[in-house]
Amino acid sequence: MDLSFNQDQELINNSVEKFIAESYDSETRRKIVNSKNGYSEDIWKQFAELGWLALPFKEEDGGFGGDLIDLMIIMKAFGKGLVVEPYISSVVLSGGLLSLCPNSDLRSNLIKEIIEGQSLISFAFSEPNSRFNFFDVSTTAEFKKDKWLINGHKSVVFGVGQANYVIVSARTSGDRMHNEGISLFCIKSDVNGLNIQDYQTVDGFRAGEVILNNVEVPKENLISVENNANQIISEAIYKTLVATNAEASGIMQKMYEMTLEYIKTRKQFGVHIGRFQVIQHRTVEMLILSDEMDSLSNMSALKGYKTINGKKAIISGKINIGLGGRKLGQEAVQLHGGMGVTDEMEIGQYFKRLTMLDTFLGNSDFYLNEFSQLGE
Amino acid sequence: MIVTKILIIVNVDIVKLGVILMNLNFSNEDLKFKEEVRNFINENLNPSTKKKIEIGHHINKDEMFEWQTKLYKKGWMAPSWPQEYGGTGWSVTQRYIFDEECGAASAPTVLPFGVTMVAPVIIKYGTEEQKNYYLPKILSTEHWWCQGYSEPGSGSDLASLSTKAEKVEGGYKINGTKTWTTMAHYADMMFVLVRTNSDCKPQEGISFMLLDMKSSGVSVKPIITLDGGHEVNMVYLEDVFVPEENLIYEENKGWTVAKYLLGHERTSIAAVSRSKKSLAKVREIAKSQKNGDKTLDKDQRFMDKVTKCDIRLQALEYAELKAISNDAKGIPPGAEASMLKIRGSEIQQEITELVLEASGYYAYPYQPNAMDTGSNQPVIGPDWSTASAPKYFNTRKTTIYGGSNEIQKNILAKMVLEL
Repeated sequence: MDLSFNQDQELINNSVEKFIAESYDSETRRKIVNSKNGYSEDIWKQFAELGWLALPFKEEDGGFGGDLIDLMIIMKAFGKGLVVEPYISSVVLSGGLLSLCPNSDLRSNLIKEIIEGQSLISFAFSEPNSRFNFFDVSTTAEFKKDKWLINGHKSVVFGVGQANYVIVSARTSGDRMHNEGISLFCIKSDVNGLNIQDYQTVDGFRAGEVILNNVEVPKENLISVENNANQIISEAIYKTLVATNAEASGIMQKMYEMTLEYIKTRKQFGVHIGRFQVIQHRTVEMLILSDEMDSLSNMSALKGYKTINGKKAIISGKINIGLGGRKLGQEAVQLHGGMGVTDEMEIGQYFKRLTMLDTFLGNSDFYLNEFSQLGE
Repeated sequence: MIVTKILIIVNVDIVKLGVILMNLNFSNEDLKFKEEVRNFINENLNPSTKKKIEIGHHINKDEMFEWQTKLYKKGWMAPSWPQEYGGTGWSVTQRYIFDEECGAASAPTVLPFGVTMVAPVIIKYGTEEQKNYYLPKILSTEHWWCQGYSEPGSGSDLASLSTKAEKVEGGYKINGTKTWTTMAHYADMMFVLVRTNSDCKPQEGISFMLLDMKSSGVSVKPIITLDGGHEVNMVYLEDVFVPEENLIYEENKGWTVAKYLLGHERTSIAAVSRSKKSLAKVREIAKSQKNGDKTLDKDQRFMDKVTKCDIRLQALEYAELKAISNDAKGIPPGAEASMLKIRGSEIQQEITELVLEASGYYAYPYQPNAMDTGSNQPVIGPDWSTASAPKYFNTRKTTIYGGSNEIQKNILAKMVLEL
């Protein structure tokens, strides 16, 4: 067993870390967060040129055929740099869904456009009453006169205001809570009846409310098998959770490092506060928490989502964002004292993102239930 | 849930031969008083202010002023003061009832800097002139106060403060920087710790003074907190003149004064009645949140967390009553006040975690405008969820301010454990 990176993985790791160090400092990030679109088109172009947008896609789809380890490497570095570009929502989640859809011209074109950095795609799954259940879908799609007619409200849809296409999960049969009967529609974001209210999120990303009012969708824009999207939704979510775990791991490592730096420089009672045993122990605890998250993230990328065992590993990492991650985040702020609750200090920006990653795609309570339901 | 309904009404006044006789019931007079308080709040609390507090939105200076003025007119501004200075002369039970009712009704918290912080100091250490001048203005909210303690280099190690007061004719000239000054942008007066002697143990060279914020040389710069809000400030003091008569107690005896004040702050910082109300709100929210074909209040995993928090809050409530009871008997708050601060602040944080969790995805939208006074913008998601994440972020401060919880533990280790 060798758990170190191979040469290709080293290469990806070095290039992402180099990019963060050279082109993504906190000032740049703040400007991007407060810009109109909430992401930088320039930086997105660079992502395309560097091949990161192609990385998770299969070679036959024009991608580089990267695996979960590669994805983990990128996302961990993005976590350390607190990258707000819509990589997770557009490339990993929506791109992941597309690649699992049956072949079609639309599918191929969209993947090509994602890879080239020309299209951003957003997946609209959650609804005001669905909480974290991906299959609690009230949005409806009815087939009428050769077209689908879609109605519903999708809430807190990540990256939707910047996307040219929205993938909407809608009920084509069955009751609200049924796993079966859900289909995926890919809709141009500027069509009639599709109303998007874009907003900033508390962690510096973008999301929006999507109201679908008699949106007419051509039949070729049904991109999943009719009534049968639950499997691919589930698979795409698992893949995205691997990315989320990695991002959290990167954030936690960075927060630990920033805190360690702070306790070595902040002086009270005539000494660096790192000289106090209680501070030492608590910072050591942060190190362990960060290391645990990294282990769980690595484990989830290694095992993948094809087996129950692998799914459990992925869910374990996700649950830990709400447990160890929350603990570490709170400790980092506490050890920074008053400075930790200012907008000015970077630690707070990391704290906010880490906090919200617990909620992202379902919180730790939700996945504790999922874990028990997976069985042996 | 039964736990929230248990009334722990204790009349701890009677201490005989070390035996505490406790009475767990309200007397008829107490019940009448409760009714009176409730009616007063119903008639005087502005519904829009109430609503904002209930869902965690900000209230502005006018809204605070409105409520404090109503309390003042009723004579209820300062329940903890001796009656001769404008206190209410209430029994411990009545004070408990008043806090409880204000918390339950989501009435604004009276800003502590005047009534509960500097006033007890003036009452204990002030001259007759100081008492006659300041206390009425605190009661009527003519003066807004802020606290000039922390400095950029002096947080937990408060005694190391370096803001300097130099003796000049008729008073002092002050230079330095104060930080984390809550409401300095509204304040008329600041009570401030300054260094009057550098050639001694740090604690022995500090003086406690009252500084007019309109003095020349005072400038206030906002510090934006990570929820995007503005409550705290940096206060720069450049050759600010403070007249002699604004010194409290004696020169270089400011540390004694500060310690007396901190004891009072820690007792009021427990925020029990607020937390009880907030926790009740969490239960209400859980009932309204859809979770599959049920609601969140049927989710045992979530509700267990609510109950665990509730249990700690019940213990804190009793501990706070004990402290109030002692205070009423003239026994000053001792080190046990640090326990109240530690648990009280943790519980406030826990409750914000629960609201954040209950919000689900609707914790995400950042809606600073919705949280401010006078905004007519429609909110995204349920109204209570708009403040859920900002509140969680902001409330991290409670274990840091008022003497961080680490400092409180140091105090307990030294004073109680005698280590």
